[in-house]
Amino acid sequence: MRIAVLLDHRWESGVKTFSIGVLLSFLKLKELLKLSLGDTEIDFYVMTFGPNDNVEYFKVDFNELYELYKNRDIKKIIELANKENYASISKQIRLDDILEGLDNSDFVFITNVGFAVYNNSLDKEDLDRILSNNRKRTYMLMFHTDYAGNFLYNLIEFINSGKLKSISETTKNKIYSLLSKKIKQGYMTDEDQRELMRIIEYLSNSNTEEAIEFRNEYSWWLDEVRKYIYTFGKLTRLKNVINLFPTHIVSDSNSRFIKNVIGSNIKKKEILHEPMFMILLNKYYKEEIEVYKNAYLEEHYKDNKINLLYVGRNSKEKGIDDLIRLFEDLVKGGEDIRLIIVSPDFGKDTEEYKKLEEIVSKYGRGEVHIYSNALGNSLHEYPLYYIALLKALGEKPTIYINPAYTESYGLSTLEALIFGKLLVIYRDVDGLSELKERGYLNYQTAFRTYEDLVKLTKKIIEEIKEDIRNGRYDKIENEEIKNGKYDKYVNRGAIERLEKEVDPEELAEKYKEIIYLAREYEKIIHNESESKYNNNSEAQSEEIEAVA
Amino acid sequence: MALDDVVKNGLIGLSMDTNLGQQVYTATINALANAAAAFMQQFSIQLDPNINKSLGYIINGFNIYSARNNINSLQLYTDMVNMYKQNISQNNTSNIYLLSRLLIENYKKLGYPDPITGKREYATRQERETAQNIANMIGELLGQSLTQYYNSIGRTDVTLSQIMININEYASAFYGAYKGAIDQIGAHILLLTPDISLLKSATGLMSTLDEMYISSIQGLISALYSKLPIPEALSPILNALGQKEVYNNIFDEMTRKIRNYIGQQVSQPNIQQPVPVPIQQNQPVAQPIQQVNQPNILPQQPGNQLQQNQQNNQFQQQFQLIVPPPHVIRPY
Repeated sequence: MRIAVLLDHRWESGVKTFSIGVLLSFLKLKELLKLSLGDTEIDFYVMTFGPNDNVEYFKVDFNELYELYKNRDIKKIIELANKENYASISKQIRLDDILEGLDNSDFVFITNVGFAVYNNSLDKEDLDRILSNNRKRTYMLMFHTDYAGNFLYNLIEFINSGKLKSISETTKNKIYSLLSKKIKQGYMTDEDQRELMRIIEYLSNSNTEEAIEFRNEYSWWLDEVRKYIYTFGKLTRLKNVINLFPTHIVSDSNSRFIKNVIGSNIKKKEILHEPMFMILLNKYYKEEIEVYKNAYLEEHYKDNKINLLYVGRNSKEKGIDDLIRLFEDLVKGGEDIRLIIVSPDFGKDTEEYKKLEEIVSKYGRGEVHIYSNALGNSLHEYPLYYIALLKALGEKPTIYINPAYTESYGLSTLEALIFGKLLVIYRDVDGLSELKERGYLNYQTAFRTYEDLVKLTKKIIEEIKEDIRNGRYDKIENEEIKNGKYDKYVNRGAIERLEKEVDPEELAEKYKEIIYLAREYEKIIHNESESKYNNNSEAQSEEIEAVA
Repeated sequence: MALDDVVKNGLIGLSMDTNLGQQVYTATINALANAAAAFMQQFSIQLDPNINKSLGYIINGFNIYSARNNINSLQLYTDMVNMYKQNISQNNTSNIYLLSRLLIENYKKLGYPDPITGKREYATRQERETAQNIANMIGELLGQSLTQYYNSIGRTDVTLSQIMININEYASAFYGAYKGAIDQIGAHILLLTPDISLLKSATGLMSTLDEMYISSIQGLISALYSKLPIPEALSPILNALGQKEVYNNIFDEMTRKIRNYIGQQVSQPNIQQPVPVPIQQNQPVAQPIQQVNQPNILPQQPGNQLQQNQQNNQFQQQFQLIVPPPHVIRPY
């Protein structure tokens, strides 16, 4: 058995975080497969950006990582993956080497369905070769986001950037209307998705002034959309592909989108939690985290000031404007609250930083704490600090806010739930809606519009103030209170279950099942195709697939 | 005569030329001295807690917990360093302890388990290749040092070949002394105070110092080896450095540098990092090193009550430096 894993490490984002979790799952998987299928060869390939924005490919020494894993040296593994991009244990290879490696594998896992996008070294022919239909192997591909929603937010950002001087009111209204419908409904209907594609097609092909201007500014984006669509088209034609989604909502939205654009649909779908590497850090380095937690509590968060915590990129689609507006409205209304921002890109030169400075100085109250790579105090470089901060805030009056307009999975939200058991106020959209339906997020703390967000936050702040007056946060020696047993907004039971479900070592069992089933399925297909009576293989394949 | 013999005989003939020998020796030593100095210069950056964040956090933790327990941190640090040295660096045997430790560290890189904890260590292919060469050389040196030692205490029957048969056993036993030194320091702390936090931060500080010391010697040997990759030529040079107390002096200098920060607040490194997205290449993200002025701090005098009080007053400010502090925006 030979498994190849292609990791997309080109961006510091959820895609990379996912791939680190996948690495830990595959290390456990090697152990599991050894017991059931004998020795399994696992090849790890990584793609990153080179110095000139070209994509470079590397082969990682998986056995080296496995040696570390046997000692449960999780910190070292994560450091190699996260900080180094595996540099010291990988060697640069050519794209052809990867193509050959994938050709010779029985099972190929690609951690990002967008692996071919932004990729100027990978041609259409290479993509065809990677996703070939020769049935020799099975593919598993991860969809991270709701692509229709994503494209819509891209368009909104382009309009808001001010670069499109000729954009007509009609086009603007069409796009804004799709956004408000999505916010209202929590998802995009088939008709809305088709309308979105009509707008994109119009901007791609029309000779109107606004479309020409759009192409001049954003032809790279149109090219990107085309590449996605080409990849989706390939996936609909392949039978031996397992399409992996983090939530049912993302699965449903993408499936409908692909059907609406391509005309046919992807076949096999699996909904599986994303493995969270921080779970293993929390499992194996509890003592060290405790020291850091106490440091945060004793110095920075000793008082009982109400904290609003935001974790995420500094970007419009993550709802950063709503967050700042909320902070301003609360401070303006007399609340002396503390906004804590954990974000990779929140430097002093950003518009948002300046706005926060202005708010605090204008009203003479409120406080902002920022942890950011751009300010030299990142918590994610050494993630134990981040886990410790969440745990510390879990013992203090803290509200986690997720105002994102699009969220495929909500990894940071899940981290806040698991490590801090925090009360989460979230926009009821996409993956977050599903987390609510599955019971991890409390249904009373969901909102859709900004007005609802303000109303809800004010209501909860009043309740927390009452709790503070009643000594809720002073009685931390009382374990039951400390652990939030009486918090009506935190679904503790579900969160404890969730902690196991996102554990990379537990998820390895699921991957094993998928690989095992795929292998059995391929055997059936193989036997059938060798049959001399197989004169209608397509029909028979469908039949076998249905049985399987 | 075969061609190889022509060349070989020619070169062997040169070995009688003492003038040439002196020239080669001087050139070699100069090249080694430059390589060693370059390595140490680079390495010494790690000793600055204003740049080496994790060292800064450890020192701050030690300062804070000492103050919390009304213990003079500088005195405690001095005691810990002395205890460490007593265990592993007595004058006539220090080479044996150090070489044993280095040998085991190289074995660990080659995949052998730690003789005390049984844990295996990670090493890259390149590190393993170097470790193999250095381990052979260190093993030989250790054998020689042990033989000399036994001969010096009257055991003239002991020979190098006898020692070399069980060299791993000898090395493992002396290697244990390092772990023993840290444990002994831990016991000393617990006799002063029941505070587990001080125990952890103090032993953490000494373990860090220990690791840095060993890694500096390892790095030094690797740097020398890269210039002179002939084990039988490098081995006597390493031996001579040991005789001249160079390794002990490195340790003393390291502890002295760190001593400057004991009882003092280490400022947060002012490192502005670039916005990290997207990653541009598959290379380790180099830590941007910004030269931060060394604080002009006099070592705290033991028993100086005034400074002790000041230290207690700084307690709150210092504590924040154990973890990355938030960047705060407050009303003016």
